[in-house]
Amino acid sequence: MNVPALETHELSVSYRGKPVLHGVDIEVPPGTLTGIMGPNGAGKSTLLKAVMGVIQPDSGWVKLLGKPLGEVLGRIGYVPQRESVDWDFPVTVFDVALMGTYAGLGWFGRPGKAERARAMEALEQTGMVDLATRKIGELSGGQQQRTFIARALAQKAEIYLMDEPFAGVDAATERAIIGLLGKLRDEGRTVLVVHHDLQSAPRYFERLLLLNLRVVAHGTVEEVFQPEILEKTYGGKLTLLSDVARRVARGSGGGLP
Amino acid sequence: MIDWFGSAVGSALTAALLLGISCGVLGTFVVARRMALTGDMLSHAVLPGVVAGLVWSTTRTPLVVLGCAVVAGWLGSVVMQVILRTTRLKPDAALALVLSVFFAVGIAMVSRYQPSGVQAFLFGQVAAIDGGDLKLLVWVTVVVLLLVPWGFRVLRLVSFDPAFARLLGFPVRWVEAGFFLMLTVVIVIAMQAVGVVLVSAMLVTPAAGARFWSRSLSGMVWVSCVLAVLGGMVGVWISSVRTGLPTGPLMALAVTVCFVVSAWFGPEGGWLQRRLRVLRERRRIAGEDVLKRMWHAEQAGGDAGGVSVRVMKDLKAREWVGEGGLTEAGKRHARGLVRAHRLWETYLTERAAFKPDHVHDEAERAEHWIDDEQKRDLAEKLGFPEKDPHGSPIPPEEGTGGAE
Amino acid sequence: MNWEIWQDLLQSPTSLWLMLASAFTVMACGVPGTFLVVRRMSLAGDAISHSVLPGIVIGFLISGTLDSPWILGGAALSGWLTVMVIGWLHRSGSVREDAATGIVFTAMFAIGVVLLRLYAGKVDLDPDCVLFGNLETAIHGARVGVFGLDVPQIVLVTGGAAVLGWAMVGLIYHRLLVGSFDPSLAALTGQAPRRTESILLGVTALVVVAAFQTVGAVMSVALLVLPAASGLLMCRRVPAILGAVAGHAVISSIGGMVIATWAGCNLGASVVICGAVLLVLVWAVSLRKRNR
Repeated sequence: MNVPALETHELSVSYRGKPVLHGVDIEVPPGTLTGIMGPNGAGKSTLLKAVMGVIQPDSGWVKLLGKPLGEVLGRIGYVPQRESVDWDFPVTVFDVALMGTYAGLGWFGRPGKAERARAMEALEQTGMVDLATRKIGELSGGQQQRTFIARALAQKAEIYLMDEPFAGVDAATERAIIGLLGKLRDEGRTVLVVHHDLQSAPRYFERLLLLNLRVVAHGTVEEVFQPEILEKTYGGKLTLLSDVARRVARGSGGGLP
Repeated sequence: MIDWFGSAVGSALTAALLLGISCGVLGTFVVARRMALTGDMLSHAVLPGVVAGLVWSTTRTPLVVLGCAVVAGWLGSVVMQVILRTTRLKPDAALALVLSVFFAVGIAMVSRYQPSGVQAFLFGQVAAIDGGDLKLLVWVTVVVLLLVPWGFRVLRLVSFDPAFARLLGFPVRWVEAGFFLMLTVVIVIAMQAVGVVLVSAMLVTPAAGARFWSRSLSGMVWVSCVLAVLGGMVGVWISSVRTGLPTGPLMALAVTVCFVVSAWFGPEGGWLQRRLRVLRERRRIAGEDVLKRMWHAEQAGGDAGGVSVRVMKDLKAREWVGEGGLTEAGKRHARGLVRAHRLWETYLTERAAFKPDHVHDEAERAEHWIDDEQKRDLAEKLGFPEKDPHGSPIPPEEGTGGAE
Repeated sequence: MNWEIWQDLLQSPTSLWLMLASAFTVMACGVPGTFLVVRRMSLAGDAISHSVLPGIVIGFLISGTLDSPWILGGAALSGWLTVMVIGWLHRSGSVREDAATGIVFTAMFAIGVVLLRLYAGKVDLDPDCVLFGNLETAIHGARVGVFGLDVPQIVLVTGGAAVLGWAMVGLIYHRLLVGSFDPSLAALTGQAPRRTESILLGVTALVVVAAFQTVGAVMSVALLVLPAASGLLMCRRVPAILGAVAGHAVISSIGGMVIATWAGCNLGASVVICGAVLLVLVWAVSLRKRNR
């Protein structure tokens, strides 16, 4: 019982010989809402990408719901970083939401009535029904983010990974999104959110994961949101750690100089 | 000398030499500025100009052909800029559009007017490069060779930081225009040797291969010239031995072989060099691990266990092990390793929030890569600790009176 | 307007077949081309169109005829291989993507031309055709009886390519869409984006083989990109763009035929030029719309 929703062991990731994450060991309990925080370049997005299998780690492993990623495909949902989306792509809001339902279709399937209803319902929840036929490039920042949240909702996943869903959105959207995240948590789903605003973090999340190349602290907000721990997280980079990790990675033939 | 130029092979080899030099020099900048595919676009976009020139000047005056080609190439770049500015199309699509549509216009003109001499531009035939072209090529090469060292700094600055160059008061636009002009001219001439499609090979492949031989831009220019000349001449030579094979593709393949050889054997990040380095480091690490084991055994008065003959030979060659066991140098090196190991364990637990039972393996890997300066840095940051997290003593720095 | 051109065009079955063959070619290329353009992979299309040549020649040497599955297999394989090698060179770190593309496709093309000349006696493939196609001669080539109709083989080949392209969209549209728009989501939900991409590249190589005879290597790039680009300027969804591609194919093949007859020039080039004119028209309309 009580299998952690997400578990990583000694996860190390480097990009072209430059370490981004080092020895990350975390267990995220199911049904929780966790904020992932840390300074720029601390490896927050990289952690999500490694969990999703987009980046191959140098060492360590990831388990989701107690299983490797390959066995839980379709039970994981995600919201990409705004910058990584091609906003000129010719798709409408409804198309994007519908993509959330593709998981079970197989090679030749096509979304039917049930899938369309699911996508529409998700758009209703995020208040995007009126804009369903808009091209995504014509939306405001907040609307764009709502579209992708709707897609995640349509996925009906058990674990949600979200990369800065609050970046560049208006206050109303931010409130709406945080409300939806709380609802997801109450339904027993696990939500991990990369977040950068320290002010709002203790209000938004019940757990925090503080990253800076390695895990500085991980626990409930009360345990973790302490001045000295935050100081440790944001108080400059561990240059020695990244220097030595880079040399080790390079020497073992990992990346290029 | 006159015979040499008069003979077909002689003039072809001369053309390959001159082309190699100009392509090598300009190609380095093309590759460094990530313009490889822009070069490809340009080589297709000049075709309508070339055909127009050939139709206009039936005697095939090189300058007329060249002038028309430059106009067409310039037009291609302008169209591309317009597409990028006024539509949502991305650079890759814009490039592909200009490349193929301009080419189609050229082909339509070819089929309509059937100008003589156009075959050389389409398929490349070094033999088609005649006295007039050769003279032009000599001039172009001389200009490239004179201008590039002269404008080397300017071009380098303009290439890598145009905004800064503009701030410094360099005439960035003029330098860009000059570069574009020279590039177009070289492309048009190279087209006659290798054909419209394979111009890119002469521009890009040698320059990309040069990167495996030198890190500096001036070094790359030299190597890229050598590779381009070598490839071009080998291509001409093979086609003269095996008649019937077209020169252009052979030249392109020869420079590709040069590239592959560079990527394997080049001293700057070539495959062999990388492989050798990994093997060398692996051997050092294996030796250091044994050295440490022997040192620990000596400290505890026990036995270090069996050591493979190869590693032992290695240790003796490094003079870490002598007839009677560890030498002074060996002991010093071993203490250094242990010091690095234990300092690193302390650092990871105290500063990087690692759990103490997790740090041993980390330190086991890292100890081989921490140099003296970093050890000093670590010790200072940690307040000169004497014990590691497991309670073992950290050997002091050598030469500060702390040695045995 | 000169009516005689139209009368000639409509009365001669050859020109009807020519138009049909070029329309099929544009339709075939336009479909994978659309996905290449929205994925920002147009230049992979450029690379593939050049590098199918050695595959075609080797396939020809094995089978001895121009219409055998060996040619298709060889072409698809060499096209796919090229993109893989480019990606590998680029990922291994020391060669940038643009330079890698330039190196690999020129090398493949050069191999193809050398093979073509080496076995000139055995390979019945005109080197001219490599650069600009020879639909006008191909149409007079072998004929096949279909339902009592004497159909030029080239029409069947290009038609087959068109069917292939549209079948790909019909069957795996959703995988193509999500794999192009958000490969991470596709991977995370088990929709095999990499295999989808391989299929797309393989189909691109196959339609390019058909286009090779019609327009040659370089202009098949135009057929990949032009219809998709004009569709992209007009439409807001991928299915609409595909519809526009079909319309573009019909208009540019008829217009190309008119231009070719009127100016007396190469048909493949004329089809491309007509397509470019269409793009300019669409562009002008989109500019007016934006300014309004």
